[in-house]
Amino acid sequence: MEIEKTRGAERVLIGKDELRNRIEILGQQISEDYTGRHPVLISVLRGGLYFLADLSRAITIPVHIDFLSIGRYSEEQNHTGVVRITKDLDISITGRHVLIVEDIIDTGLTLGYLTRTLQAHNPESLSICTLLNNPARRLINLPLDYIGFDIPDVFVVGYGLDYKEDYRHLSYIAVYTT
Amino acid sequence: MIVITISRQTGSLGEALAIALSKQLGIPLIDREYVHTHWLPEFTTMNQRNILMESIKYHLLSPKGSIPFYKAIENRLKDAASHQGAVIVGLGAQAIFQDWENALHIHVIAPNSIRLDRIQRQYGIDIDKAEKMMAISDRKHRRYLWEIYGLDWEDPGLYHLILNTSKLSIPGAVSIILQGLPEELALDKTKAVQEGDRPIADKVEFAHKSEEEFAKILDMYQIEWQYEPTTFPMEWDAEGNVTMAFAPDFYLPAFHTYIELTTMNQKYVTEKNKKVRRLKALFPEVSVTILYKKDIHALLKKFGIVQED
Repeated sequence: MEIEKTRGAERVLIGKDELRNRIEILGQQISEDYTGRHPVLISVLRGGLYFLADLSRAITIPVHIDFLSIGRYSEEQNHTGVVRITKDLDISITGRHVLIVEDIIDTGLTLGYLTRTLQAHNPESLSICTLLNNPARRLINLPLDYIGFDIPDVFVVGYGLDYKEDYRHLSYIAVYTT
Repeated sequence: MIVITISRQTGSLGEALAIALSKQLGIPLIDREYVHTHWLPEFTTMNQRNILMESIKYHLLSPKGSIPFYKAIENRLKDAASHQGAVIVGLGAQAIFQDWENALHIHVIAPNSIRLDRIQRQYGIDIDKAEKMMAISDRKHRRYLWEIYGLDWEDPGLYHLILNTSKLSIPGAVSIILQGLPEELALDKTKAVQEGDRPIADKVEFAHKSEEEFAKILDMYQIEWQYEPTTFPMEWDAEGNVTMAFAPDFYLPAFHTYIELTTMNQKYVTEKNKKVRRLKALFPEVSVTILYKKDIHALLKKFGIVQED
């Protein structure tokens, strides 16, 4: 596969076909597990955009989809600030079966925040699906129900993942080296 | 000179009582740690000291051309006591000073339920671990006196006073002991020492800047954290005293996870790795993660707390 010779995206980690095949399998598994439960798939903008789009089309049962956006707010200069929901859900998830669809889980801090926030809506169930899992950086252990790929401790871009907003559009996952 | 020996059950507040008495009477406190740090290096090798920490029977052996280890310790204790008096914790002192004219022997106890509660709170551990710790330390205390001096640690005849601290504060126990001292040795009986009633800090003071920065990141994600809430006992000496403990920097209660940060050089990182491995072996149900210097830097960089390279 020809990789763009631009800046730091140096080598393909997971190719386009490999991504498609794995997402197809995940879609089948989720379809079987959620038969008759009409789940809500929730993804975090913007990294999870492509994965949610492809995964939801690989799922063969009816689903709803929704998006969240998370941002960091700082009230004072030189203050770390707090993480807040900047785009909330449009669909009510109370009493629904919810599947969080993440692009990558490394430290687990965002996921920890997300699960706690979503649990407050009292869903019937809450599960986690991630395309990429980087266990070497994990700080918070949460059970991951569906994992696309375990990856080594490298910085990756492509398929929604960015470096300073670049590389999201790549159809594969590449290792980025500064 | 006055000698007060303190024999104590773990979780009986015996150590806190000994500290308070030492301060009140203005005489040195001697415990196993003091002996190992200040005296043993004069006549033992590091290897011998390590074995002495572990093995009771090793105390009975004589290094080449010398007296047994326990006798050497005895001699130093008697020498120190005769010159300046002492409050002595453990070390078989109730046997060594059994016939000492100015010695008062105290055994500090408490009901098991109260001891367990105190051990849990002191080390931040659950009831199962506290029971395990209590059983190990009791066994070692008992064996030490039996193996070295052939005496029963729990024989009330060895002690002038047996204090049950279930309903006694440290100042209250100090007061009772001072009342029992001969008049010429009692000194100032009015100064109750408040040792053990330490105030709880209302503000976290971090040992290292990186810990403070990491706490900010947790705050940012509104993740509840506690700073060094738990001290895990890791090793005990031959007498049942905790000789190595490990307090991970952070505990995240919502995720039942401990996190240890390290920004130190490789020598100390290796030491921490060893401690974490030991912790996992002793407490396999405990989840603990080490965050290395490069991880911390990457996190701080990610959140804009430090400048990018």
